[in-house]
Amino acid sequence: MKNLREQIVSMSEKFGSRLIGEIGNASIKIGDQSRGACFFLAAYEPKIPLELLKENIED
Amino acid sequence: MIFKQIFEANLTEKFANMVTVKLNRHLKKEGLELMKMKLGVEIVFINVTKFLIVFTVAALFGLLKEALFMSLIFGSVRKSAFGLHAKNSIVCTLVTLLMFVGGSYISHSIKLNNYLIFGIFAVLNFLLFKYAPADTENHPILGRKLRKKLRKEAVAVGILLMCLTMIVPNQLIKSLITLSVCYEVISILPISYKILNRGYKNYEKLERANS
Repeated sequence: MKNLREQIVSMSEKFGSRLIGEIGNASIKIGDQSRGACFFLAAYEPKIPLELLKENIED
Repeated sequence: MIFKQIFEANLTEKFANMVTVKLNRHLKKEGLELMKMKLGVEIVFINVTKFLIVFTVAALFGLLKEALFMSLIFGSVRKSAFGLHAKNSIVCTLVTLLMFVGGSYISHSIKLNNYLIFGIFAVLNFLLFKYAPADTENHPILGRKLRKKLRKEAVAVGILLMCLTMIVPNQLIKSLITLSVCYEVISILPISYKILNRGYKNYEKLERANS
């Protein structure tokens, strides 16, 4: 019984960290693509870090 | 330095920071990767919250399908043409509501024939060719190659939408597409920037400083 509970906990932990990893990587991809496109459809836009935009000159 | 930048922020940014920090506990990214992650979170958060409000109001007025369609068309041109943004979130929500819900409402009473559509789109595409992409103080478009590519894309989408508008037999769809492209073109005009006292061609200063 205890073994089963441990298995469930470890499985959910694995799933959680994998999900977080996927969300994080997807965010990085969106952030990366937004350097060369306008992704803010609604009319408010936060400041994009210059360091990211400078990569466009180098590309 | 990066963490200092990340923590000087408003409410939207605070939320994005919170999520980014939580995500980064697992991913352990640094520097540019971390900035990209935060930006990605912000993009999703801002668009989801804004459009949740806009589409809820549109649904209350029975204009959900029209507002969804308008935002899709507007987004397809804006992606490469860029254009003006509101300075804060409340103004942004109001403008977006007015554009998509108000636009959906008036589209029902606009009647356009193909000659008129051709004329309007000829002007719109010319303006896209001349003024797209129009950057902002918050997002200067650095790199000549990138600007050229975005201009080409914007005009191509404009022409594609003109053809689509002329082919579609439905009057409502014709006016929804035309109005959406008009909104986008208005947001890239130098006169709009001047009226709202906003910086135009923001890339110039930065590129000069870098060269």
